[in-house]
Amino acid sequence: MSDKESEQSGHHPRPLSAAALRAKAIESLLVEKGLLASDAIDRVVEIYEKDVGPLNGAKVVARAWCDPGYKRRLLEDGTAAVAELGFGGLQGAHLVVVENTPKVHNVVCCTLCSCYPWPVLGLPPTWYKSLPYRSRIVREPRAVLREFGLELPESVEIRVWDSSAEIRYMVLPERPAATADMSEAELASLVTRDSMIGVGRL
Amino acid sequence: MDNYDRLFGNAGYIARRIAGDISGPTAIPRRNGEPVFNEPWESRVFGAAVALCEQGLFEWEEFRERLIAEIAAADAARDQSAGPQSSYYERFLAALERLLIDKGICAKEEIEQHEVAEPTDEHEHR
Repeated sequence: MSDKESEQSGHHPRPLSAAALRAKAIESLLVEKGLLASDAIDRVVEIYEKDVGPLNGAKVVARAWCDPGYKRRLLEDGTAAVAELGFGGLQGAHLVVVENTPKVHNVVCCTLCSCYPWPVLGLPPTWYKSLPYRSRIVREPRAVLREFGLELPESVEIRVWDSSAEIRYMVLPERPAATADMSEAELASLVTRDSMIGVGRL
Repeated sequence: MDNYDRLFGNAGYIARRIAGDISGPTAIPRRNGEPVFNEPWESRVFGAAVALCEQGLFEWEEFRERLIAEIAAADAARDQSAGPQSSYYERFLAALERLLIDKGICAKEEIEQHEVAEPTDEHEHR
């Protein structure tokens, strides 16, 4: 990861703690033994930071896929439905959950700042807060989604939801095919952060 | 079957199992539901443990048993002294080292030699 590089090759490196030295020794030994590739660590950390963070949202999505009654309540009143699972703390804002279907794809942004439903999705990614995303996703959503690797057919309508201090949005992604046998916990493990922002699909 | 291949065959599966461990002593530190690494080495040691497990060098449960033991030992030591407490990832690191030694993957002496061998800039060696 580039953080690691800059940390270690900086002009004024801080002295490393005993634990940091030990961790480095173990890593370099494992690399030397051919048991571990540095990029394997990078990959794990990336998955962990990106997809494991929004665990609460993933649980909400999986419950909605498994329980039609819950799904109905979630779409009617997101705040109350996520509170059923113990997730609150929206600081007075209301959570609105928007559902993806084969014909409609939803994507969330905050054009003015970085409003984000953090009790369910964790902390917003850097790009979510960036000016290019905030300004372009409303103007040219199809092009921006393409840059995220999401190519949607022209027949799919794209709806962009601009978050505010009062309303935070979250996307309910479509349940992937061939998951009928999976448990709710297994389903939750499939749900990514990007799919709940709407810049990715499952 | 795409999702199975994408997630269950790789580190994501293990990382998510860890993420599912959200309460109790072995649960990873979080802030606002988001995993927290305070220092770069913490994410490196976490990543190393998951990657090694993914490669089949050990079962996650074997690691977890040692993490529980390290946490219990650290908690007991804290009751004895007023000194600074070890952090979650210091215990995590100790558990990984213990496991690598127990499984015969690394010797303690080798680890110590590597610690001495690279005092400053590891880029020189690579």
